[in-house]
Amino acid sequence: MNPEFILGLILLLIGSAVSAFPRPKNYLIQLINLEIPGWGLLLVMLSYNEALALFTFGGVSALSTFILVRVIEKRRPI
Amino acid sequence: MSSVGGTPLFLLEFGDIVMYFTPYTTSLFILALVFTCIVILSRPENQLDIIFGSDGYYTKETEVEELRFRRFMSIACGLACLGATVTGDVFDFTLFVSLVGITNVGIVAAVRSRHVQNAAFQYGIVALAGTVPLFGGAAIVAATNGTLSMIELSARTMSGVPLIAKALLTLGVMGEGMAPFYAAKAEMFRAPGAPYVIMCSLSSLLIFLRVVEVIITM
Amino acid sequence: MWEEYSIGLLGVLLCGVIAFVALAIEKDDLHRLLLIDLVEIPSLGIVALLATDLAEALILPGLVVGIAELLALSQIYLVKEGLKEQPEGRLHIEVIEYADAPLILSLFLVVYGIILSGFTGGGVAGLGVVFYFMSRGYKEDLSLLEAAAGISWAIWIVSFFVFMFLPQYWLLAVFGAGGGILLKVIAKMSLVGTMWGRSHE
Repeated sequence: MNPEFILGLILLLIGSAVSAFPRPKNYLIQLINLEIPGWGLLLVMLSYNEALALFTFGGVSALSTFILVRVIEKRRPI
Repeated sequence: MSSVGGTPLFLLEFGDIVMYFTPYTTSLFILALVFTCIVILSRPENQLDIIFGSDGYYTKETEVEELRFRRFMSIACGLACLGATVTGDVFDFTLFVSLVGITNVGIVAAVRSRHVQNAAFQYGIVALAGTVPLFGGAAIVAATNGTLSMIELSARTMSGVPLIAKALLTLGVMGEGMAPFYAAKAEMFRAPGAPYVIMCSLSSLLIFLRVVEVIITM
Repeated sequence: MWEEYSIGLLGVLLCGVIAFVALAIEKDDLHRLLLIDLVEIPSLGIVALLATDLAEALILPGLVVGIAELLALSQIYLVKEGLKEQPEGRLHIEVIEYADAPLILSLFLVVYGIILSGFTGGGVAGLGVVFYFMSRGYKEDLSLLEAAAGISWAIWIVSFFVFMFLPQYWLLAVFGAGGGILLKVIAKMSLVGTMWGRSHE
């Protein structure tokens, strides 16, 4: 039960609650809030020394943010 | 190993992942194989339109070229069914079921009708949500037993797999492919393009039959 | 009280329940798409709690499945809403469009990625290529790169078969696998980058 694990779980819970019910409710705020549970998951993986999974999740998370920003931009051009 | 489908006639090993061919899984495998061959070899159906007020009709011939993407997705779905029906590894099974979900979305994604695309999107959302209990169930099986191989899990006298893992697996497969459970999948059938669209229905039948055997065997 | 695994499982499952409840009451399609990205995280969390090397081996295909579904669904969403032709708003930043810095940065990332090789190397090098395409646009035809990526992916699979059936040639298989997956990941990521760069003249 090292500190990274507990911190990761706390971030995961807070991040899910905040990202599932964003206030104010628009797409950009929800997208930014999606990073928080991602960070929590990364900390949990760090506490178990799963390095490869960590890197890959970081990369894939960047990719999925890319894709979602593209969809949001097309929906409401800046 | 004795599963509910009989004793294995043949075991195909890929390292840790063992594919087992009992009479039950072999019959599912042959069904998937036959239908995939039908999809490869057949030409798309001609669309019929009845002339209003008479008995006449005119047909519109569709070439294979127009429906190429749909045909490719159907073949991919058939291959995923082939894998899902015989694999002996729980996580491998969940991966094939997720692939069935994605290819089902792909089969109807190229249709121009807005209603069908709407239905495909809703189905895609539920299919993606269905992968969560699938992976969760497989992970809990691995955590409580230390192995993912169905052959080893069935060899124990007392089943060590908790009920929650089996429930999550069933929930995941229901989310991926059970047409009666939600209307979006049924609405997807309005897409033109038989025999490719029928692969959606066949794949959900096959994965449901297989998951029942997996749950009882574990 | 409970052990670490039980507490972790409880936390992750609670996370999943919150996300699913939000998904159930949501009515807007794009919000649903964003929530789908949220529910991927508890599913990976349950696998990560396994804490062995097997967990890493299980997380990677889970991530691939997640990203593939997200790509497919976002594309269907764009087609469904009729948004494919909308131009994307761009910012005009001089130092990205005209100076030499993006070229140097991308070159450095590509070289570093090739030295690293393997999946991580492919990711780093691909990032360099993506950055270059995003800043400068592209004019070349990418079909040759795609063909090379396909062949290198086949080399990667053949290397794994060599590992399984002919283990005495393991060194050849290591080089084949590392180089193959490097080229494949570069090509795929550069394809993503072209989605954002200025399109063909």
